[in-house]
Amino acid sequence: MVNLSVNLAGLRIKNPVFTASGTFGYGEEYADLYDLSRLGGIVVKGLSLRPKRGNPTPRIVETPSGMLNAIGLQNVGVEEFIHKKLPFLRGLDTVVIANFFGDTFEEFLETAIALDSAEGVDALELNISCPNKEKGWCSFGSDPQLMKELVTAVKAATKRPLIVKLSPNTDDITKTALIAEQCGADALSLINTLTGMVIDIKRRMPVLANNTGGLSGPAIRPVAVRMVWEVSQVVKIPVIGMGGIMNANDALEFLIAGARAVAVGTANFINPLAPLEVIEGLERFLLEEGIEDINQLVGSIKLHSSNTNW
Amino acid sequence: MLQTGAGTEPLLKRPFSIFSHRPSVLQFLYRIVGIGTLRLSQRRKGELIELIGPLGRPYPKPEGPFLAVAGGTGIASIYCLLEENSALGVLFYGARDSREIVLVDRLEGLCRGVFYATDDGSLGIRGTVVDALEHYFDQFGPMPIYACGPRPMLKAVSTWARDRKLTCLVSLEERMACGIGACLSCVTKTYDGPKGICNDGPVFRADELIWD
Repeated sequence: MVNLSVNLAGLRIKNPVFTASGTFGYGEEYADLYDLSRLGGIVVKGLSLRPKRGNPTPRIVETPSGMLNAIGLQNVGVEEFIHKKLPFLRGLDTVVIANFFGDTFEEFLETAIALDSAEGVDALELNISCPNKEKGWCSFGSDPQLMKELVTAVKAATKRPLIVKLSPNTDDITKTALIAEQCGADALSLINTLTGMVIDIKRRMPVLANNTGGLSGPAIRPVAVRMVWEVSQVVKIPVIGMGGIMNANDALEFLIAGARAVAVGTANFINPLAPLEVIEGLERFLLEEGIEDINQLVGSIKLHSSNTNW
Repeated sequence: MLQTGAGTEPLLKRPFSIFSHRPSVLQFLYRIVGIGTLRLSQRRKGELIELIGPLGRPYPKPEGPFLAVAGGTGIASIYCLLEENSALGVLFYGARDSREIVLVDRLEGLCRGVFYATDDGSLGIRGTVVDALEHYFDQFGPMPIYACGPRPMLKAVSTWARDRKLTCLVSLEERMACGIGACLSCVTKTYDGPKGICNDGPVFRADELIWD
């Protein structure tokens, strides 16, 4: 037997495989397909204080080895989540992480407070990549001062472990990672999607109704692995790695780069069984490699020496 | 949701309606329009293809005679409905030209009547399916309408049905990633808020929908 369980932000997690926010609904969508209690954890679709209807369609377009989405954060709102969605999730033997966001500072705080007192939410994941309506739509995560204030305030407002989800759309992701850590984050999730655009050449218009969208899928994986590796070097808090994980080998890259856990995202759309296949594949890899504990793999990367005299 | 290619191009499965079914056989009807349908057309006999389904809500079973309205590849789901309810449907089938009209030899035997409409008049009347409905409908009493085709056609058919106080059911299409209501890609506006075409539909009552 090998050990797949990890400790993360004070939570004991049976295996290091989560489903990424926005790709797994509220869990119930996948309940007919397999036993969700086999997952390490479920990160639910991003929640806001009030329900959001999201963007017009088209909301997605395919790209080489990836997809671009601009769903527009459609969600049922925190109240309906707590009353209609959470009871089902509470019945599962898995960690439930509530991803949330706000248009304003106040909305972030109110949503965090509502989730904090909800029974069955094990941790909060703060999405700082969404635009800030108060300050000209720049994202909270791209303004260091704003991000400091936000993470500090949210951390003070909740007793639950706080995970901060980082955007790759920044010049240096280690800067935002360090800010999140200094302001009290218990763990980091990375990466969110990379902003992109696809143009319909006949119409001379972007395909997505929102013009731009977030790129996900295998296309972004090398970028995500590199960022997880960079961030893992500079922070002490655990990192949850994600970005185009389709199978166990992909997940292993993230763990070796330094992630304590991983999240399967876009793959859920293509192969709903992908998270289970990742869990089974991790176990198989440990057995094959003669490793007893998955934690021994975390950050086990061996870099090439920077010898220029070759 | 049907896998088309073998690798990551395309990455996503594609939504298809079931064209015909019998025990242990499922058939799909498609036109090659993009990379997904191209890859599907290149699959060889004996290859395995992943499928998640059936998903969503099908047409409710007609209780008696009905009008079936198909536009272009919308014939795929309409054909299934006609086959499951043989000799109950009156079909109005429109396309750009006669080359886009398929299955002519099979449709006659399944329907009480078949009327065609093409933009260039190469088969049936010159005009849209709504023009054909307008032209021939008087022969038939009030019947519920089942429609599948491009959104502008569905909008025109549902307006036509509303003016005649006929029940109208439409099957919608949209880009989808998951097909099970998780990705929220394929929403449509309804008087009851946004609904998922994959799981709340694809069949909706036309009077639920906000057409824009």
